[in-house]
Amino acid sequence: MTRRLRLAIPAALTVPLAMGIGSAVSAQELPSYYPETYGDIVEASKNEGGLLIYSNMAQYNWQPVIEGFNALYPWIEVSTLDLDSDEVFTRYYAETSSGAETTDLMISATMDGWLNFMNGGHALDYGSPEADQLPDWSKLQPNLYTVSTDPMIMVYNKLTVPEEMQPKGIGDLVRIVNENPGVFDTKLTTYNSAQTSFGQAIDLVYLREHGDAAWDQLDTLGPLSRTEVSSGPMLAKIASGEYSVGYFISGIVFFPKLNDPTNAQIMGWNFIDDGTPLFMREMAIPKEAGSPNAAKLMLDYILSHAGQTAFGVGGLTPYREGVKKEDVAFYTYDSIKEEIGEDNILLIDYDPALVADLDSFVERWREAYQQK
Amino acid sequence: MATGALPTARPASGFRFDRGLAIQSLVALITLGLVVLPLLPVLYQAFLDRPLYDAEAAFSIGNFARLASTPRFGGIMLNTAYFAVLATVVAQVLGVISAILIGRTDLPGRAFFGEMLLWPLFLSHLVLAFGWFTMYGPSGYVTLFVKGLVGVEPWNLYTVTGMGVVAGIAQAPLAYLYCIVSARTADPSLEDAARSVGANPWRILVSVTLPLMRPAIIYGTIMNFVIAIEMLSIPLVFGGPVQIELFTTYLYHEVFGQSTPDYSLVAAASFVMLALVIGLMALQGRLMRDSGRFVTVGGKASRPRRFALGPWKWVAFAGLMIYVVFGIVVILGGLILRSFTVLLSPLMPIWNLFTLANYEVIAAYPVYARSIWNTIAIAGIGSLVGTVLIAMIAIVANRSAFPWRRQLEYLAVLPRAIPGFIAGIGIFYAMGLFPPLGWLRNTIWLLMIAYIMRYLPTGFGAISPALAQLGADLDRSARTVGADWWRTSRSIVLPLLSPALFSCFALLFIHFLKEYVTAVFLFAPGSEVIGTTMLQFWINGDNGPVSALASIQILITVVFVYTARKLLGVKIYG
Repeated sequence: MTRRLRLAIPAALTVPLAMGIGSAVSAQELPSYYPETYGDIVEASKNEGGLLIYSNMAQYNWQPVIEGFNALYPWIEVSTLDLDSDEVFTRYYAETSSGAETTDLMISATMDGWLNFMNGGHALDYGSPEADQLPDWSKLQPNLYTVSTDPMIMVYNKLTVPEEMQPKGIGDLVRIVNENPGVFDTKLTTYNSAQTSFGQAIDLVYLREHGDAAWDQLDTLGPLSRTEVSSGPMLAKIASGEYSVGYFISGIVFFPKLNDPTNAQIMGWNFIDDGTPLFMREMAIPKEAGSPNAAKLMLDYILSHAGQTAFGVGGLTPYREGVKKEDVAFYTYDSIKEEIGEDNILLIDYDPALVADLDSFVERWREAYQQK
Repeated sequence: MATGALPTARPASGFRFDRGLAIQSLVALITLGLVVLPLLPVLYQAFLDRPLYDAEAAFSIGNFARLASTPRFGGIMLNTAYFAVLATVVAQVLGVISAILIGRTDLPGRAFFGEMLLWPLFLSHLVLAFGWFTMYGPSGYVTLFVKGLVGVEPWNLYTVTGMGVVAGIAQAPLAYLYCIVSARTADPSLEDAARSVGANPWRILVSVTLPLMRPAIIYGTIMNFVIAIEMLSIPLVFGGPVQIELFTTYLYHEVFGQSTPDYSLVAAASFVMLALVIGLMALQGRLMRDSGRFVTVGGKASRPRRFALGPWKWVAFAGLMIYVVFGIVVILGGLILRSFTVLLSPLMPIWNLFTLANYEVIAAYPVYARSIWNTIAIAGIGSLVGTVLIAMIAIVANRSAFPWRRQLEYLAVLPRAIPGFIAGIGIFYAMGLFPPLGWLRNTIWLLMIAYIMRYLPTGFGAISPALAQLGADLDRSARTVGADWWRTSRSIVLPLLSPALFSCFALLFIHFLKEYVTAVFLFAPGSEVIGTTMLQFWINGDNGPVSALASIQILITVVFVYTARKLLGVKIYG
């Protein structure tokens, strides 16, 4: 969905640009494929309050993006709130239903959360001028845009796990624990899929790929595993030796930890050779946004080459073609594809069939992960 | 001058504007509003089949049936009961023994122990839980150290038993606090009577001293049981990885683990918890009433004689020392040490690990630093407002002719039965129920309101007894020279109360500094507090910044408590 270009003289050009501040974006800075009316959005954003974003990311992921964004639009004060993937929606529903002010832009990675949100018609109708520059697989639904594609990986403690026991994938890990009974008791960690929709999505995509064979694997790993509701504690506890191996850990939480030499000494990692799930982190502007124009500018910036690169610098995994691995902190979609091959990428693609029967999945998962 | 104003000099024809009554009514209404604000929505939501803001919502009692049929609900209840009982027993045994040793025997270092035992009360459970995790968790410093010596995992805190013991040790100081007062003020003549008929010290202790402490023990037991039921931090930190769920963690995940939480179910569960706690409080009231007033504060002519422990005093000394060192010093010291290191492990030499990075992170991001200032602001302003309100409630309830003063007193102590968790959920719902309140949502004022509501009973408990000790003659003499109720209260009663008011302020300040459970549901961008930021760091696995924030919180507390107690002479906890 792209907007038809209006051929009238855009209002932005009739406004004198001698305002000093507020003219950081001039027409020539925008790419040629932006509509001429884009200046209206920019102008309108000046009359809005700040931009409030609910996301499931940390401050350090945001920092380069906000800096880049403010270089273009210095008058927009951006504040972000780090929440759980689910909490982004919980808060939104609680606030909008009571008529309170809510967020202007939502970024999250939870399948049922986004499916409910989009089916409920909560998203503002907005066709980004950047949409045509993005790969088709990244556009799941109109008005819903992809921020990044973040890999789920294996991480292990190099000090406690000898080299021949460092797993390359899930199947490999099953083989290793079977060959070394007792060694990995309570030493494995992964997501608690009964309590987090994030964990559910990862497991469901892996199960879709491998079917019952995957359940056999999880039945072996489950009793040895302790579960967490996010990757942070898994990594902290792998580093401290409480756990030895973590599987399906969020790469973007892990990679920044390698900047610390102590952590780099302690922890090693692999992509998952029998299928690396890539979590598509999505964004949309809610209809109730108080600053819809500022939100549109941010959404477009995140999708632009500069914004994708900035999120890459902040540690996420940009997927827009043309973003170079050397320009970002860790990986891009293309560089992951190059490293493991497209066949080994399991895209968490928000297919409604995946979450069709969550209850029985959760029950089955609890069975597999029963603490012995 | 307004035209058409009422003539002021009217004959007393029945109705006359009474300043005192107006103030009393206002105080009563504010209190009612505060207490009802969180309760009403929870009760309402518990009987609705959809979220209360949904226009389609209809009355239903199905939520309770659904709750009961939730798989695992029975297990959650059993775990919670076991955890709460164990924590209470551990806390009471440790607390009563320490109170008797410190209050009634010739134990060496009594003053030091008495001081040390109070400190955990000033700190939040969140800080204590992180401290335990850092030192005694599966990869804790002490755990690994002992494991290195003996070769096997010495203990496992990731069990309901482990959690119960941790919670019990964390709560022991509260049990100690309730008992120490009654131990110190025991009537010596009763013990002397026992002595005169030849009872040995042990016999006196069992037959006279302990029974005299019974009200304090019962009171402390029920308080600790309630606190254990509503504890979130310890079950979250130690139960999460092994999927052990207690009542609070179940609710927490029910609300935060789903993109569309089942509010009806959560409210029904909260309702059950509320009924349970109110029932316990009522039981406490009954037990206390039946036991009458044991404590007789006599003149200072005869102080209770201390029991001579003889050589046993060194055994007692060692026992208490172990508790203080391993239950308090190691935990807090370890947490502070952890905040200055990359990680803490006996497997790595510590001097390679020193860093200031954990503090730099907090300084680098305005959001994190803001949570510290917010906490201080809420504690400062909130305690001031709270103290004023509680002082007003106390004088209306104890020193006025207000017709509903008894009811007002009940209202002021009712929040003790409202777990912080439910207060948070309730106010969260209230925002949905009363849209005009919406502007409060993202502000620290909302947290202040919630906190003041939560700690009305705490403050009331600090002021009310002091008020009871002021002779009523003072009021009367003021009234005879023509002062009305408000003038009397303002010029005579409140100034005389000032030591109690300071204590109330200090108590509220400390509680507001600690409180996080209520805030979990209510904080928003701009109204973060230290506790919620710590939880976020914890969930992100940033244990370094967690311990840095915890250390900052400890520092603020130490500075405040030291200033208040030592420099200003304010009494906090006796």
